[in-house]
Amino acid sequence: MTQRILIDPVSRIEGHAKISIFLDEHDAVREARFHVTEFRGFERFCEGRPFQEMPGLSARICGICPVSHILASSKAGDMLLAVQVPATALKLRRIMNWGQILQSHALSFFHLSGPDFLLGWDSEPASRNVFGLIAKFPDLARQGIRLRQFGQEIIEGLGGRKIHPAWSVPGGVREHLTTELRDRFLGWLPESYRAVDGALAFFKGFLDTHLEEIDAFGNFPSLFMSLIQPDGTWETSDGLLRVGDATGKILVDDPDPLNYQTHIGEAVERDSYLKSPYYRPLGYPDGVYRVGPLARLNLCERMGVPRAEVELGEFRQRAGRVALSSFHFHYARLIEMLACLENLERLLVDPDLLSGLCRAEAGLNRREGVGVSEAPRGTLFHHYKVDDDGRLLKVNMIIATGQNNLAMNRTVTQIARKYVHGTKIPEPMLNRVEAGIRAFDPCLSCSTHAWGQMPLHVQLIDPRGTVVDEIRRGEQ
Amino acid sequence: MTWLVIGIGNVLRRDDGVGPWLAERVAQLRLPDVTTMAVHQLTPELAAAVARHDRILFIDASVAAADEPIAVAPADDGERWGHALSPGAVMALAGCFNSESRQAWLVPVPGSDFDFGETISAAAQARAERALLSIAAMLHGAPTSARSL
Repeated sequence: MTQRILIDPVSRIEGHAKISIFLDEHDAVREARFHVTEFRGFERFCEGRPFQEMPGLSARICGICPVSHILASSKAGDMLLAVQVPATALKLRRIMNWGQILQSHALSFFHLSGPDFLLGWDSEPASRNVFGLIAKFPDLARQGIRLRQFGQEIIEGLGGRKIHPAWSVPGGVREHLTTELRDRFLGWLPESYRAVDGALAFFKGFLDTHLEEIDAFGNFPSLFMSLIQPDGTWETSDGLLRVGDATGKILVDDPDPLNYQTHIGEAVERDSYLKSPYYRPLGYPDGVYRVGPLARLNLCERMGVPRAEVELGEFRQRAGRVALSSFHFHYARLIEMLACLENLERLLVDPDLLSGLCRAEAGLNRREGVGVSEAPRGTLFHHYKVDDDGRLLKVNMIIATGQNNLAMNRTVTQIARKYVHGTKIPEPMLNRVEAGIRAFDPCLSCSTHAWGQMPLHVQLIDPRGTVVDEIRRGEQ
Repeated sequence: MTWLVIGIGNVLRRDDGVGPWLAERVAQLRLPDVTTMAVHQLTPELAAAVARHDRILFIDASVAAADEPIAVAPADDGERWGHALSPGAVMALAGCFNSESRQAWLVPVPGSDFDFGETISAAAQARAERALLSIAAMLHGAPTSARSL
């Protein structure tokens, strides 16, 4: 008799989801599935609105990564205006995106996944949370808060507020950087470097002693996708769309965002509101690919800044030229935080940021626009079609978390196969399955354009569909 | 003694914005040693601001029945932790910055209309006005143990 384990809700991630683990007649794991159980429907209710409103509207998809939507939406608007965005605006958008990546990665590493690293998957569940972390490692918890605070200050300083800043717009940005803000941002750097350096040192030691998790947490060949600079340098805002395989072979280097549907198809599963994008030439579900920090590090040829470059070299020594374990998302996140700090240090002193044209004005010059940007969790696409008055006829958004959906399913299946034996759900297994999802740092509000919080629900289901065991945890 | 008043809520969902609305009203009182802020949701970096104050007042919309008294309670819950935090979680994080003892309370103001819109309902506004009087008294030094407004 096959059975099903259901984890519902999944905790310490953004949104609401559950995991089903299906057992076969011999109580061995046949398959695990990650379901997103919330729905919002942003793409549809944006139809009919003027495209100029989209940075502000789509920012409301998420209070955590609104900047990603604002930037992708602004870029789609740039294309509809058919303007050349001033260099000052491009630089300022980059700065805000680095701030966004910094604050998001800090939250993911230090506070959402930190309790697993620092307290252990097998520790007492009641204290394996951020409060346990605070009690045992207050300095690390504080450093995580401060890093996030820095990222949020960049967003708030440039955009006027931390959440939903209406600053980046089609054609550029509304305001320059001031010298006062620049100096304040620069003042954060020494402390921020110390925090990231400390986290990197800690995590490398952790990797040395957790080879089993590295091997079991979503360790499989797949494709990877990210933006990349034309010369192969790590990128977060512009450049080419690159797809590469598990051997390091480059399959796509496409400079035209309008071509994205040539490379990506979107499948819909009946048991989840999260779409399942796939690499179209390989079809569904074989075209599984991963996006986000791991993909960006796997696909780039260099980081473009010295300290992160050194770390990339060590990353590849440890994980291989193409890191396949999803556990390395965490490691990649730390290296990206370092790269953000170095890039901020380099660009913040650029005098272009303080004056000059920062917005190109134009009317509607095209009927279709696509904006692509790197969100903390991976590549984000906004695709708009408009009428002659600029009202939206069709909106399509492909969100980073969705693009990792197939990979998250493979990850929870792999972890369940290793740790689930029999028809009961042991607590350490439950946490490891959750942690496999957390490695991707999913943002379900974005990916389903949904709202809600994300506790964890696991169900164990037999071959006839009967739930034989079930755990719910963390509902609020 | 310094106070930090944090109004929590989405100002685009009518009565959910009653926390920010009350925070603004408190700010207009220009009370000495009282700082106010309005936030969409509680996030970890708020802990740094909390750590700089002695007393914290969280004001949030609730879905309690409108005729129930507003039960001000110590903000010591610690259960919610994710991309958005509970007041108790923010207080716990503030402990990373210093070991100063500080107290916090949650003022839940019942709302009844959480539809799209930037104005709070007349009923919620009336409850908020009553709450404001008691909040002002608390900020002036009235007893701040668990109480009903």
